[in-house]
Amino acid sequence: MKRDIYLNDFGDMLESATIRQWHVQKDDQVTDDDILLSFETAKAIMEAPSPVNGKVTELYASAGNTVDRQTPLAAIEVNE
Amino acid sequence: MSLRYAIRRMGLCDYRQTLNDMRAFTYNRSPDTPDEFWLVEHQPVYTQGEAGSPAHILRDNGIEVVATDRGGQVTYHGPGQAVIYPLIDLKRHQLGMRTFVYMLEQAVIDWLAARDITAVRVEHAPGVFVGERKICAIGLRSYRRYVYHGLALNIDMDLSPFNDINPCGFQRLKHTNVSEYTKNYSLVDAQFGVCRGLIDQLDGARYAQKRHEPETAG
Repeated sequence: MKRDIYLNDFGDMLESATIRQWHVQKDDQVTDDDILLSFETAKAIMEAPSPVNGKVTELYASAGNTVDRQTPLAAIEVNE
Repeated sequence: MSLRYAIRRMGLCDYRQTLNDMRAFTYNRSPDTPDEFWLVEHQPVYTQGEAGSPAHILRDNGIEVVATDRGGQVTYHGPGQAVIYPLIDLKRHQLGMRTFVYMLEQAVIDWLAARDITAVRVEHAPGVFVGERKICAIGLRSYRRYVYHGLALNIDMDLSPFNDINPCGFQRLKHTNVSEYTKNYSLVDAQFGVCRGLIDQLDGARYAQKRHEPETAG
């Protein structure tokens, strides 16, 4: 099952954030212990682990992009 | 799990050494590692945020610029500034980063208020201000929800090195010291006092049925 990943998946109730770095590439397998990306708010950079196990199928946002909470960041095909 | 905190008073520290030590602590900690607060002063140094713009460093005055991995833009640290590094597991406290930043600011505002200094947050300008002058800077990073970096509260420091940067990316931002408003202070009192205020909020948040979420933060 494909699942879109949003800022809300990282549990911080952020309105928006700027992507700093992807720690994975398209087609990478990730577990929910792997760091997926780092993003920055006004005061903090957060290195955030993946919320799910699966295969990264899309990275929608690029480093430097500012995204809001409605915008999907990536898609992961979740392992059954 | 009972909450335990280690508070380490470390005195005057070299910035690079402290940064290395914070990273080593954070990247090696586990869900069982107690939170720590590191209370330090730094020798004169500019620190640049991971995505900070070099354009905000206006001239080379001989003070070293260290590239770091926190959020935000360039700032200055020097003797007479109370630096507090809260090495906190946000997951254990069931806190979001936004709420945690709000708590840091509140701990500083409350400590100042106890000395009859009225301090405020300013929208879109991280930190704590007295009037339009900045008294406390905040910059953080988290790794797997383990926070490091922290806050710097100006107690009685030489503010002139701020003139050679756009602190936090703001032009002509003015700074101030606690010592300009009161005689009732010491750097160590400020460190322990702000730390205690933060612990009270962390323990309160853990046991409160409904956590307070800030309406404006970020």
